[in-house]
Amino acid sequence: MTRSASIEDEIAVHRDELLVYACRLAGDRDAAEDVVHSAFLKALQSARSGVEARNLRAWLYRIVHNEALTARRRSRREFAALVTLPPAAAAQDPARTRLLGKVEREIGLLAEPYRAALQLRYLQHLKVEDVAEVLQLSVGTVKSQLARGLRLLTDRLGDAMEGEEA
Amino acid sequence: MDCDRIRDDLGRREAGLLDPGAIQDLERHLEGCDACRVYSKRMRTLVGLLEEFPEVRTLPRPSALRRLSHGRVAVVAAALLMALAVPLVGPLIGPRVALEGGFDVPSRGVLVAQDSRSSLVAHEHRMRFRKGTRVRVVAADEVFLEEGRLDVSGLRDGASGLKIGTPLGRVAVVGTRFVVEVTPVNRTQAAVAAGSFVVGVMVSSGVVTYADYHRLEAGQGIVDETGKAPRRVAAADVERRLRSAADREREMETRIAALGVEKERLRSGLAALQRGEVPASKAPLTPDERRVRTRRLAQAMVKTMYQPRAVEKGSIPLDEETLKRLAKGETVQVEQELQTRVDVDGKAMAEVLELASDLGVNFFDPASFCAKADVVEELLVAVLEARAASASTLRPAVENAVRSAYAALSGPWDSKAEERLAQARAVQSAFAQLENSLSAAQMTDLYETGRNVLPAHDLLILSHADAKYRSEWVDRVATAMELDPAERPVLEAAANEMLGKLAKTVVGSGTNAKEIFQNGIRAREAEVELARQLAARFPAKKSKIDDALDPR
Repeated sequence: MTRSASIEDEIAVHRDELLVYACRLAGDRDAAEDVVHSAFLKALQSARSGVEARNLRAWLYRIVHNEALTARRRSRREFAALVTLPPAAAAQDPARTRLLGKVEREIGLLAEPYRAALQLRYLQHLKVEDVAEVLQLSVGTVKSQLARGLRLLTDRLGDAMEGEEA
Repeated sequence: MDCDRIRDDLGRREAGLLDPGAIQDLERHLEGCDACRVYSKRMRTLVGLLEEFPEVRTLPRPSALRRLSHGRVAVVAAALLMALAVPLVGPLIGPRVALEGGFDVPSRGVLVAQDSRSSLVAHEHRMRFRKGTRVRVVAADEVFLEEGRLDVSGLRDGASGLKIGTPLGRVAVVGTRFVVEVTPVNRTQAAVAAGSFVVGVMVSSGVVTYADYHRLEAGQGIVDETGKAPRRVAAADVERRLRSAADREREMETRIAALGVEKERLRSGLAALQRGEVPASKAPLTPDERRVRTRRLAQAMVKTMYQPRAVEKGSIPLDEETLKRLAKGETVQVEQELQTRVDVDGKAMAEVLELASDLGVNFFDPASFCAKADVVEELLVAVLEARAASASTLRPAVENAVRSAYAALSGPWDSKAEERLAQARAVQSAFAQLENSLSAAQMTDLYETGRNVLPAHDLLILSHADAKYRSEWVDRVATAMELDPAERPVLEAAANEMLGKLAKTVVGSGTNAKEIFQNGIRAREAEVELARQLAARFPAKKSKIDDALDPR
C-alpha cells in the first residue's frame, strides 16, 4: 500500500507535464485526460503487482506514450492539427510566440519516430537517456531519430529561421 | 561533394553522433559551399530555439480549451442552455449547471447523450457521457444513471457531495475522478423492465462510496450485478469486464450474420447438386457476372475500409483571426474532422470475403488487388463515388486510364518482385493520366486508396532504421535463402547499399498520401534491384529469393 501511495504522490507531481504531453499526442484535452487517467490506473496496477520502476518519471511517460498511441489508433484522428498549446513563457513577443507555435506544429506533423523523439527531448525537456527509456529504444537509436528529425524539420522550417539568430 | 549527405551529417552533429574526423570533413565542406553553410546556420538556430523551448507545465482551463478545440460545442451548449435546460431541466437543477454538446430530451428531466462529447456540469463536477448514455436529473446535486457510462471528474480538488443513482446502488462522491457504468444484462426491453443490470464503478483519484457502505479509494472498483452481492475488484478489472460484455455482444452479431450467409450459400449449392448441376460458386464466371461481382466487391470494400474522411461543411479553420474572435467572446465554428466510424458488420464482411475468393484476389494481401485491372478500376470508381455520387460520370475516364495502363503491362517477369513493381507502376501511371481530369481532393482520395493497396514496404522502414534492425533483417533473409554464414557479408553489403540508396530517394516525411504511395513504389524498385543482384551472386538460390524478400 505504501508503494502505491508513493506512486500516487509521484503521478500528482508529474500529472501536469504528463497531461501536456498527452495533449500534444492526443490533440484535445478530453482525450488527454482519458489517456492520463487510464495510464494512472495501469501504473497503479503495475505498482501493486510489484513492478519496480528505476526511473519513475520516464516510466510514467512511457505508459502515457503507449496509452496515447493506442487511443490515437483507436480514434484514427489526425491529431496534430487540432490543438496547439500556448507557449506560455514566451508570450511577451507575439512574433516569437507564432514561431514557437509553428515549430511545435511542424514537429507534430512529422512521421512517428521523429515526432516522438523531438517532442520528448525538446518540448518535454527529457534527457536523451530518458527518451530512450520512454520509447524503449537504445540511446543510439534515439540520437539517430533526433538527427533525422532535425534534418526534416530544418527542411520544412529553414526559411522561418532567417533573422532569428539567437 | 554530396550536399544531401552533408545535411544529414549536420543533424547527426547536433545529436552528438559524429566523431571529430567527420566533423572536420563537414567543416571543410561548409567552407566551400554557401548553400550548406546557410542550411547549417538555420539548423543551429532551430536547435537553439528548441533548446530554449518554453516548458508548458499547465494546460489552459478546460472550458477555454474546449472552446478553442470544439468551437461548435460552445455554440450548441449556449443554445441548449437557453432552449432546453431552462424549461426542461432548469427547475430541477441549480444555477451552476451547464450542458455541453448535444442531448436528446425524450421527456422532462431525461437527457440522452448524442455523442461522446456531451457532458453535464453540476455540483462542481463534470460528467462526460458516453454516446447514448441516459441520465435523469433528480436534483441540483443528484442524477440517476439509467444506462450507459459517466466519466466524472471534480472541477476543483476536494469537490464533493455529488450523488449518482444507479438501478442497484447509489454512488456518493467524496473525491474527484471516477467512472460509473450501468449495463443492462440483456438488451431486450423485457429484461430492462425486469431490472437486470451490471453496475461498475472505478475510481482513479479521491474517494467514492457505493450503496452507502462500500468505500472505494483510488485504484479500487466494484461490480454489482442484479441478484448477486457487490464484488470489490481492482479498478482495471472493472473496465475489462464491462468492455468485454459489449465486445462479446458485437462479435456474436458478426458471427451470426456471417454464418447466415455461409448457410445460405451451402444450401443453394446442395440444391444445385441434388438437381445434378454444378454449384454456382464453382462455375466459371461469365464476363457479366464478373463485372457485377467486382463492382459489388469494390463498393463493399470502400464502405468497410476505404471510406474517405468527410469534412463538415461551413466550418472555418482555427487561425489567428478565429482566436481573436474567440478572445472577444464571440462564438465561431471551428473546423473539425468528422469521424466516419465504420462498424464492420458481419454480413458485409462475409460478402467481401466471398466475392474476393470468387474473383481470385486474396483479401488479406491488398497487393493482389493490383493484379486485376477490373478490380482496380471498380475500386477507384467506388472511392470517387463515395465522396460524391456525381463522380459516376468519371467512370469512362477511370476505365480508360486503368485499361491503357494495364494494357502496357507485359510479362512474364523474372521475379514476383518485378511483377508487383510493374503492377504498382501501372496504378501510378493510371493516376498520372487522371491528374488532369480530377480535382485535388479526388486525387488525394485515389492516392489514399493507392497507399492502402500498396502498404508501406518493409524496406522503406528499414532504410531509416538502425544498424541493429537492418542486421536482424539480413539474418532473416539469409536464413530464408539458406545462405552459408560465409556468404552473409555479400548479402549484407548488397542490402546496405540498396537501403542507403533508398533512404536518399524517399521524399517527404510521410504525411502526404501521394508521397507515401510514391515512396512505396521506390521501395519496390529497390527490392527488384536487390533481387537482381542476389540472383546474379547466388544463382543456385534464385528460387528462394522471392519469398525471402517478401514472406507474404
